[in-house]
Amino acid sequence: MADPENLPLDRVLERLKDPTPGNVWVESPQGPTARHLILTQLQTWLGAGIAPRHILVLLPQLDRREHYRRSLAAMLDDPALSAGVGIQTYYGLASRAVRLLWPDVAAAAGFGNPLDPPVFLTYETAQYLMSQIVQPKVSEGYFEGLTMRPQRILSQLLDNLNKAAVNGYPLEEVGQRLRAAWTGEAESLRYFDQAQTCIEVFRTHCLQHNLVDISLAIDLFHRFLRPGDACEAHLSQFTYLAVEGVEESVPVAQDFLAHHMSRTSASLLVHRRHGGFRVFLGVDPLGAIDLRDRCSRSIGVDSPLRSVDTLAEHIIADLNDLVQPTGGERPHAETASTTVCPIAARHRGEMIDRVATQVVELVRSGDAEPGQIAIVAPYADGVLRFVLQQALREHDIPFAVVRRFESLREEPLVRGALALAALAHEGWTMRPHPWDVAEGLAAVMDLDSVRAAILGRAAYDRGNGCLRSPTELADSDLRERLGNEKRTIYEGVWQWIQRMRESESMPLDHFLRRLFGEILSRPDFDPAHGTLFARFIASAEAFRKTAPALNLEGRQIGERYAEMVAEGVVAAAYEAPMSQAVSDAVLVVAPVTTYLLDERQARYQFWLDIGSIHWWAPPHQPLTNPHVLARRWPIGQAWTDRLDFQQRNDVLGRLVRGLCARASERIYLCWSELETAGAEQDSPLLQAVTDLVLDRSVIQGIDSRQEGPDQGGFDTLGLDAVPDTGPTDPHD
Amino acid sequence: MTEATGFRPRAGQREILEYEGGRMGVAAVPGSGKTATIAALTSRLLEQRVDGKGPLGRRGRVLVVTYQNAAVDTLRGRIGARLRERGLPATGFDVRTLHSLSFGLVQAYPGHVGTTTDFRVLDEASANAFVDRSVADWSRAHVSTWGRLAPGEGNVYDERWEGQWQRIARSLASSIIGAAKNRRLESEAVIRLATGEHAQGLAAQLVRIGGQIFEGYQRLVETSGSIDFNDMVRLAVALLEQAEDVTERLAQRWPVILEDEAQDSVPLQEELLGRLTAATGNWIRVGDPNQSITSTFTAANPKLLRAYLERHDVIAVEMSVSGRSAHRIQNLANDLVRWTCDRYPLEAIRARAFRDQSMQPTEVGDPQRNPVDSDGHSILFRQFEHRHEELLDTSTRAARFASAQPDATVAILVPTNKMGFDVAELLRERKVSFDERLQSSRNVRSVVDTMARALSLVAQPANSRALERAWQSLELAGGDSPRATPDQAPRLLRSCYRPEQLLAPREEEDWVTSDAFPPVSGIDSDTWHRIDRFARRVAKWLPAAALPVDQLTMALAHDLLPEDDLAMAHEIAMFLRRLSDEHPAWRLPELVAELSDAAVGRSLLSQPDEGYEPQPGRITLTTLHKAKGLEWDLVYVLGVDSVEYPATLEDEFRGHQQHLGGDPAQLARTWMLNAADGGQATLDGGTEGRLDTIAERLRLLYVAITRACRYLSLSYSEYVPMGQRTRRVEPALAFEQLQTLYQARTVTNDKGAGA
Repeated sequence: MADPENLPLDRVLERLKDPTPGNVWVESPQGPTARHLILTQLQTWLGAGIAPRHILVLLPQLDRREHYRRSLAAMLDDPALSAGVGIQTYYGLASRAVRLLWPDVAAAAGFGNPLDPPVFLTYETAQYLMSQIVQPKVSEGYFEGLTMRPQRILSQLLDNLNKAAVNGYPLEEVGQRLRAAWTGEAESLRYFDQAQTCIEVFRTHCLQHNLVDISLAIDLFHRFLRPGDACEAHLSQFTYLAVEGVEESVPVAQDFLAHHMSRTSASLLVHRRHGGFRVFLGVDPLGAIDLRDRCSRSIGVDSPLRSVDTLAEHIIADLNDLVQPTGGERPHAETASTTVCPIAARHRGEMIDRVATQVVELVRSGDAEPGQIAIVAPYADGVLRFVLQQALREHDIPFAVVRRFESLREEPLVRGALALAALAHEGWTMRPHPWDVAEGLAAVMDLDSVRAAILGRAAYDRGNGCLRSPTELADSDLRERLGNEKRTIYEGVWQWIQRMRESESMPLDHFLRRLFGEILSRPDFDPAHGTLFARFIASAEAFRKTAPALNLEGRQIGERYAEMVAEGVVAAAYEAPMSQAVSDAVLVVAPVTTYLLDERQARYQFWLDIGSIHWWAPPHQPLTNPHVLARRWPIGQAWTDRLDFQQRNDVLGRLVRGLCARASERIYLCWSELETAGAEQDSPLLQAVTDLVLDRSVIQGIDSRQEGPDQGGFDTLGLDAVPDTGPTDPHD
Repeated sequence: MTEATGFRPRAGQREILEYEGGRMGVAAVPGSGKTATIAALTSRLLEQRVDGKGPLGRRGRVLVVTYQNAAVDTLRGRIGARLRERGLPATGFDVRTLHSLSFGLVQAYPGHVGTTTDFRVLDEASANAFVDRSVADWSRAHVSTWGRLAPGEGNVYDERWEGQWQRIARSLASSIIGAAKNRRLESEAVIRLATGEHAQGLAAQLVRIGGQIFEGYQRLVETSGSIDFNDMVRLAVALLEQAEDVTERLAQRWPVILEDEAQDSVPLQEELLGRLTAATGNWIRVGDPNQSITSTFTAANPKLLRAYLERHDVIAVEMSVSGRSAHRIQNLANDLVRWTCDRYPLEAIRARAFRDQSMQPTEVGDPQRNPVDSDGHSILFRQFEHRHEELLDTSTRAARFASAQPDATVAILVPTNKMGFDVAELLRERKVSFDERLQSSRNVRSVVDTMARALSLVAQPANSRALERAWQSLELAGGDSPRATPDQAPRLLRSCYRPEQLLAPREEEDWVTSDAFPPVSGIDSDTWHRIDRFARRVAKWLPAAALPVDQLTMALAHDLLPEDDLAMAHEIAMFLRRLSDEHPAWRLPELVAELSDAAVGRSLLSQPDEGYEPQPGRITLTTLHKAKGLEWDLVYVLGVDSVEYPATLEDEFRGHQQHLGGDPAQLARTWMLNAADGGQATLDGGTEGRLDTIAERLRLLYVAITRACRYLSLSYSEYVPMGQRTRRVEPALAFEQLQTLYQARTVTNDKGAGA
């Protein structure tokens, strides 16, 4: 099909108001336009009397479902209709079908107990199960010579399972693909064999014990259910289909779409230009484009080139030049340079300080509302969060942090809750650390850390693993030091824990639910903590459900879970959803893709640590490689450094375009010469913006001793192709 | 060749500046202007680049690789200044240490070498901790093996031997690990080398033990997702070996590589740079083989540079003109080289210790003329009866000189940290201000102490003693200016009985700072005001307790320390992170307690590499090794005796175990390297090790002498403390020889003058 006809947004929306059946492909810019288009289409369909149960909306992320429902309800005369529309991700659709049609698939797929229901594994329980399989292998010498934390080995193995599933080929092909693409030392090929053994053992174990991890759910849906009549009948109810962000879909989802579109009365596929940010998760932006040929109409939403977009074009031209040197002029250099403002420093701490100062300045001067500012970074570590938080709080500037949570045990709320769980379960042998008890009391009583320490010291009887009764503490000066209100709260907490101790032992996740519902939740409870706690409960619940398959039972499950959290085996790592961030606050978000998968825009963006190599993350890991494991990768082709280089630049180019598309006024490019550990920072992104910021007069914080952006010329990056040109360079 | 301001090339330098391409080796004597030459050559190559001439073409950059971080800043500054002088922008070159170069390579392409982007670099302290753990594990499993190595007839071992063995094993393991990794030998290969019929005897047994400890160490390193310094370079080399595209691109980017301090090059460095320059051949190595002073305890090997200088495809250049030292001092250093090369009693040392080269004074018109010899004695050879006298006399004289000549620089060079600590105490007793450059020096201890005190408040916010410690942390960090009168604030804080009111006052209460304290009188309002300010500041730290310990540390460091100390704070953060990973049950109080141990020197924290410039009128107290690269008007070299500078194979060697063939670590390392080269397994590693030590100590003395510009003092003491006892020692053979040679020259000169 030819390129789509580009029209202004209002005309595209007009066309979507025409309920004529058929499949429509719309290319939209990044940002909220895609949602706008889908909602308009839904409004049209529902307005034309289509029953909501016939409509399926597929989203790239489940996080956005509520947003859709609320927006749709607000647009409809009968808001209740919105509830009936099926809004899913592809994985949600697949796992729902597996649950519904389990009897159809269980025996055919080779499950050990087809008459028993399946146990769905979360990513985390899958990781735990994988660790049980890998640990004995490691003792046998598996993966010896690889420098990786055990968690990384597990996640790469699970990645391999998932890649086979989302690309729709047999598991056995994984090792074959990786081996065939390897160009390094032959000795390292053994790692792929070892990885293959592990994932096959894992799959066998799952089949034997009715465990369904993400990869198996997708595989069951793709290979066993979809071709069957029952599933066909189930899916046939969806005669209207809308897909947001088709460029973020994986190959098996594209297979499903290609098939299903032929049976729908109408479909709308919205493709966001320059998207496809999650290649590392197996999405296939090129495969998505192929779906356009299955549409009867193709339209594009006009998006004129703004000055911020010229920055992206400029950087991408530079990145392309690294791959294929042209030596030509960079496009839009002058316009692009007007949209950027560099913030540079010798040390990272200074950079963060300067960013904080600049944000405060923007808000206090009235130039920007807090919600118009976004700070994006590849990684939001504690120092960054702490320093920004201090600076913004000092000026009463609201802010929201959306970041990746690395490990449950590093969350005080989790440690505290587990300490309270230990105190509330008389049968547990674990004696919590006084520090954790104080954290627990601080959380449930909304205490500051000083009073929590005082109370913890007085109230915790470590020898007996319990809290002292308020009566026992009556003689102390606690009432004066804590205040009457807190003292009363303590009595309530103590009584609650006593009741728990005396009642019949309950599963840990049940205990946590009650802790949250009856004690922890308060009107001022931080929503981010609420999300974290929900994750925590889900993690404990999933573990309980999986426990029998792991040979754990009864009361040992909860305590074993607590131990594993403490050991770091259970991590429940996740990326917080953007939906939890309030829209009128300064947004701090990491990693960058989290920001890009949302539609939020900003007048001012701060790109932090642009010298960090994490902007240019390698796809190739010791045990996995998303490109080689992609369906379109020809088995046998070698993964060369040149390809690696090109792919990484391509991904970086997408990130840059995506960011620019979400900024409307100015982008602050921020870097420090040294990262926290004192190592020099360098990245293709920093190099690519070099000439834009070469005018040293505009660089804040580079003293005369330093050289400006060119100083960090370490380059494995092929910057040989970048001439040291610039407006002041006499070399030319 | 006409040059711009400040730099007029001398003979040798001119030859280097005419470089057109290819391999070049430069032997540069101390003070011969290496840095200036490197800057000038870089500038010249970049000037040529403007027209697309020369080895850089139009787009190439110059890569300068040096040894220490401190040198990176110096070189970058000098090259930048030079380019600006020549009207060029300060771009087109990169300065890297070996480690930063390797780090960048591995981080950019982790998958190629079996790691992930988030690998941690193991600092020295953490690597040592892993060695300790592996030694402990091995020792537990092999009691009878190390028991049989105990001294004495029946190999009876006891607690004392156990402690000694742990030290020996640590040193053995570190030596084997470093040397093996530099030869790209894995633990299995090391064990294999030392197993079988050909591998009999003590040395082979020690290598086997070292290999087994290496195996355990490597497992710990890998499973922690870390890479030690040696691995980093090893992996970078492996990457270049495997990924031809990467190598090619890097070679295009850096068509010319300049290597500074090449005498300290380790085999892996030579291999890495060799691969990077394989296509172009444009590799200039600058160094002084006579200043190689790390080869007995690192993998550095002075033979590498010497061999390079002798290669047929290498243009060898001498930079022998030096304007640093007065003639007498220069002559003394030359005498040391000549005597060693020509007449040293051990023939093996004559060829091993020095490259036969001598320093030449600068010519008339040179911008850096050698200082004029003083009328009196510019060199003193001094003998003391007791060590304490030597230290006391030296510190007194140095202090007097610093005070009398505030424009001049002065240094005390000590052979060991222990002796340095003793001198430091004497200087402190005399209230003399000085810069300390010793292991775990005052600055490091001070940063650790500052952080430990600050963290202790976060760990125990309700503890009044912790409040006092936090106050001290701010004082240490320079948050409060020193006070003339005793400060009431810390004592007052210690008496605080309501820290919660101070740090987290309830909003609803009508409250003043003094309410947090018992009723006291005589406290001035300024003190209350300062306590109030203090409380507001430290209260902001408390929420950071929610962060993981490494991030908490950095967050506090950010508030407390100057930016230059942040690298040290990062080491502390990593130290705590490692402890936390190793002890999942520990919480902040235990971690801080451990850090406090480090603050009093019970735990190791390595001194981060930092730039240092001697300050006029202020004494520098430094070990001989840390003096390299620096110069002072007056230099005192202490402890020039036969223990510090053994001269014959029969002499006593520091740390040697006679029943284990001398230094077991050196013995094993020599045996292993020889076996890896396919040499005879029967080689007497003990003798080799002793010869290496004798040679290196001579070079160390040479380095010490050449630090002096105008005055030099060499001294030793007859009676020195050894453990609990005092014993008699002889002067170093070189001391006696130099004294004789110096006197002979003085007499000749006097005669000449008389004539």
